[in-house]
Amino acid sequence: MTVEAAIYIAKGLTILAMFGTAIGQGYLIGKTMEAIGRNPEAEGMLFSKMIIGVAMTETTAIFALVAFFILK
Amino acid sequence: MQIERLNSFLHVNEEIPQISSFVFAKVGPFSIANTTTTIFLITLIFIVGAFFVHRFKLKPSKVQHVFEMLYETIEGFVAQLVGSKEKGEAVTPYVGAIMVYLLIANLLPMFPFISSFYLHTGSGEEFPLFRGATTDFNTTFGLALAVIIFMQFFGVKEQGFFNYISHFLQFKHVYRGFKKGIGEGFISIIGFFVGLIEIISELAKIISLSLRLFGNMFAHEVLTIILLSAFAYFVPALWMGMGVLVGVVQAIVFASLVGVYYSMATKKEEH
Amino acid sequence: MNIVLDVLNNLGFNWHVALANFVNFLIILYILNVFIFKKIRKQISHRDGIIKQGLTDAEQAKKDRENIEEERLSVIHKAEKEGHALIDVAHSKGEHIVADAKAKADIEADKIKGEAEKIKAQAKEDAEKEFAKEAPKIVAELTKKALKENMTGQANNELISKIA
Repeated sequence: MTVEAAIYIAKGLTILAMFGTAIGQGYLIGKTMEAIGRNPEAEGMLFSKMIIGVAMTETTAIFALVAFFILK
Repeated sequence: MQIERLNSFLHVNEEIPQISSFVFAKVGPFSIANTTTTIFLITLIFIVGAFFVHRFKLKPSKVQHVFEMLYETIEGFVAQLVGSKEKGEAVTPYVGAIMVYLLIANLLPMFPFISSFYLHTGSGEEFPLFRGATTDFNTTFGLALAVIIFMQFFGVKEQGFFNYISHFLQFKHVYRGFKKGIGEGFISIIGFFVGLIEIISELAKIISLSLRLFGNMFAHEVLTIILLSAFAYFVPALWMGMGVLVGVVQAIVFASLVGVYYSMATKKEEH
Repeated sequence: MNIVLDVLNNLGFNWHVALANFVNFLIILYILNVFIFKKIRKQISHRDGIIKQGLTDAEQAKKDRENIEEERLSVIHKAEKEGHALIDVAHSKGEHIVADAKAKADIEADKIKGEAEKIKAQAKEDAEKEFAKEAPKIVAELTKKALKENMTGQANNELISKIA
């Protein structure tokens, strides 16, 4: 196995970070929807907080993306 | 290198964009890359907007109505973010400006024909003249750097220089801790190192802010081009529509985080 | 440090471009901040102030008008009341005057009657006195006259009854 092949395999493995991120974001958004369903008046506040939370969760996926580009 | 565009009816083959932007001119310490030209274009748009705003009157016209409605929406959003209306009014010119800039910067490459201007260099290379500003790590890095510098500035302005610095270098706490007793003193030494870590976290903010925006926008652009080469119609259109959503959400997220950092920097802590 | 630079290079980082973009961002921030956001804020605040001023003015004017209306009504009411009172007073006074005048007139009339009676009595008395004074003369004269005439018994009787 050449180094190049190893790099490609590693790049493929970094994509696995999406797995956790997707679960996290789905859980977060689902919980927010539940909260909005219980208390529709708080929608504006919850929505902006959710957006921030989603961005935070996404950071891990972005780090994986960075790792993807760093592998060369 | 020459881009081979084997355009058939169903496929638009474009080269996947390089991660680095193309530098084609140098002015002193500044390099003009193809994302810089996009920023010039955005600056031009804002100058035109400033002329519009300059002509505003007491009795609003239709354009003025639109501008003011947008402004009030942004202000309401920012006020909700930082917690109070007065604070929101004070910080909207900064946070709102970042938000509007990012909105335009993210959405500008979506306009047709903007991305189809090509520039040819002497050595036979060609590259797009207007590359999306936020698809370049340099732009987002500069943006995040400016934001964090501004946040330090706001923190010093709101809390006073020494008070603000004492969050990071907690000499005072160590002194007070040892005055109370040895045990307290050692705990305060741990606090001192935590304070040093705060400096690192300020730097990490720059990285995470810039990488988030850059990663989202660049990945989106790459995927658009891959989809265009797979099937040129309909599927990329859906993805481009998704791109509008991504651009807007990323602009809102960036502005939200700036607002959160602002309220963190200006929070008064009792010691 | 080299590793960090390597990583950044792999991300397409270039100090010169970053610097240029940083400065450009500051310019954009300045334009947006000073020429657009603060201007719009000022405009909106200005208009809000004028509208608020107008509203308070209108409120004040409404209140003033209501006050004036109330005052006017109360003045009219008062004037009416006063007028009624005056009319009542005038009525009673008039009755009083009439009664007074009646009484006075009665008294006067009584007085005048009395006086008239007195005068009448006086006149009667006077006449009687006069008559009494003049009577002998008249009698004498009549007698003389009768005596001059042919004094018959019948004539004499007539004369006597005449005198009596």
